[in-house]
Amino acid sequence: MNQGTRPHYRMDLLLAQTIANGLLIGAIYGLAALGLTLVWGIMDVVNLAHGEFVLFGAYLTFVLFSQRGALGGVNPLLSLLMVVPAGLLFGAFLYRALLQRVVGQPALTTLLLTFGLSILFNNVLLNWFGPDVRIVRWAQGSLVIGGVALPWTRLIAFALVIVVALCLFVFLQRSYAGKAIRAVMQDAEAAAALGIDTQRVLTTAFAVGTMLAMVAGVLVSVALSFSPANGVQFSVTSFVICVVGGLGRPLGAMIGGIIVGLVESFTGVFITQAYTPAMVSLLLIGFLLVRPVGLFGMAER
Amino acid sequence: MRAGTLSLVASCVLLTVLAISGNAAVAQDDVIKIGMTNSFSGGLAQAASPVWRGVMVWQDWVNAQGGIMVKDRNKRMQVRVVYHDDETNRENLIRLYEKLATSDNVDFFFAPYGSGQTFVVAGLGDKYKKFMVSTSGAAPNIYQQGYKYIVQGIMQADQFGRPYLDMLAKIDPNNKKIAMIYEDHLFPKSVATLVKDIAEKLGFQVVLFDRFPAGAQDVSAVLTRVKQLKPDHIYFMANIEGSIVGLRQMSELKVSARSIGILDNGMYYYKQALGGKTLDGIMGPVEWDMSQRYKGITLGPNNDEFLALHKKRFPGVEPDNHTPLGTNAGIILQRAIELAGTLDSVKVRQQFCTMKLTTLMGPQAWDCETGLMKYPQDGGMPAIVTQWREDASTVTVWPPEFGDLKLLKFPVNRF
Repeated sequence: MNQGTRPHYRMDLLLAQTIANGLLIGAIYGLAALGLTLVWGIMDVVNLAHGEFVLFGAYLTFVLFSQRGALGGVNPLLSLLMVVPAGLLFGAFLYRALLQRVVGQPALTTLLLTFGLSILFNNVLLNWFGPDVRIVRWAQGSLVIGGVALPWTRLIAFALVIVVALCLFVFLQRSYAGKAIRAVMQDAEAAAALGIDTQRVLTTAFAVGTMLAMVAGVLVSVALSFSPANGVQFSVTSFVICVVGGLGRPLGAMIGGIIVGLVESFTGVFITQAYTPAMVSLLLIGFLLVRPVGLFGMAER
Repeated sequence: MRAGTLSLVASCVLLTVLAISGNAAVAQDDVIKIGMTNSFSGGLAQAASPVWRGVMVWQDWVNAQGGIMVKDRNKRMQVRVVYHDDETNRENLIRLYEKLATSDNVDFFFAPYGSGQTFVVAGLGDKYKKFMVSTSGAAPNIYQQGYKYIVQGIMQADQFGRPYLDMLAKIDPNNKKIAMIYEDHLFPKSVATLVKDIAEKLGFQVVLFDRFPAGAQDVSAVLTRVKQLKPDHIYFMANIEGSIVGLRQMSELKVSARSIGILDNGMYYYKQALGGKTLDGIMGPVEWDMSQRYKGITLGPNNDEFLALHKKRFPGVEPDNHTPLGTNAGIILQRAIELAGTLDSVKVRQQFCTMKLTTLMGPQAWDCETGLMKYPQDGGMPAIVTQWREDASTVTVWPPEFGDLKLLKFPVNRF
């Protein structure tokens, strides 16, 4: 709470910076939630290890960027060339090895499995990298327009989020695999009756969801600081965004992310940043009470 | 034949085990066991583990000296620190300290890292009648609850946060608009609340006093307000992780001031995460710095010996400003045991009514009633103010008796 003495603000600048902060962080949140909403929507699995997937992407980027030698100093954007296939393979492996055994089981079973994975992955990160806060020191500095500072890392992340979201849109709308995912999401039994290999579709969906989380991790690594302790935060924020945007709705995740980012930013500037978790929780409760299917969700789900 | 051989081997194994057990039982009697938890994982792991390493350094040092002389046993006793991972989890803390007392049968406790965690276990010393040294619990309210078995091994929170303000009042008396931001966590909150009063008494105009949630990864909102207010000085009080986030975002959002102060300035982790270019000119209070050498050390290793012991025990790991807190806790416990001449916790605690000593962390003395560290002017532990250089080194600039103001770069006007 502001207890300072007679603060004087330039309201136009304050508003512009607040909106910019909210949009830029919200886009990263949105991308981080894309993978979760896809998996949740199609499999009815709330992946509690989602935050650790984000961290895997962040740490992979960190290692490639900070390592010395022939493979060292890799530009974080170029690290996407490794993160994308690594995410797809890791997701497909996890699904085939573990997740497919619990899809369709009671919610508690899937929650327990993904909670266990979350603990396991978190401890793997802790053992490999220690608890230290990490930052990929790349593209530092800001673009200043009319007194509004826009950090380069967040601007680049924002642009990349748009590119990734468009690619996902084209994939879901135009490719056979994407159409199959949408079909299974709408009605798995009908899709199977029409000859769609649902196990293959679910593998693809989980692989894509994991890959999206790891790509979000690349952006997190350059735009934010991170440590193994942040996995839970990413999972919780992504969960809220899924509820706000609607399950299985990529556009909902993006809009939901931006809404959460703006709520955090406006609360922080005009009330106090200490209340941002409470305001985000209120947002979640409000949606659950008033529109439980989220902004873009379908009532029948 | 085969059965006979087997019997013989089994008998030998059994006898060996019994012999080892017997030796262990004798050895146990010669060992002073001190129990603690450390946050090897969880939110405070980064800041906590160096303190635990400092304890291990003390254990190596004291055992290399032959142990602690205990008069009523008429012998020197070796030290063994028994520890568990609390995972920065409050429920674990209670459970593990109960285990240390009842199952591990420790003689004394070291408190876990930080004010928040120390607060949780502070009463367990009284419950089990085992003396506890707080390694890093700076918040004074921990010791004002009436517990009789705990003493503070670090300066009080207000005395930790104060020197930066004293220095600003001295060097920049005509620019007194200050923004104070703090992380909503017990230690930074304690410091902020206490130093706000001090700032006002020193004539500062606090233009913003605001907080952000513990563990926040983005503090751009509160910094946006700071930037608009154009304060002369910014005092950003947070745990290490929060300070890293804050400094990075001040740099990105171009939040500038004549000086920017952070807590625990000089920590190795700032250098690792942010690099010297971002840190250049940042200043603030810290418990200890590599360059700080106190004269007249009464007990324990000096800085050079401490660094050598740390390097030997943890090769490849740099000690940071928190590490000597663990070493210091061991030294003050050792001194009290030697003065008491016994392992009786009540008698060991009584020593803190009169005991004074100087370690690598400086002079120390305690308030008899509460166990609080006295203020520096009364012989208690001082905090120092350091400033970063572009090459990621630090210099001690305040207080005058320990630092050199000529080394201070000011005004800084970052970023």
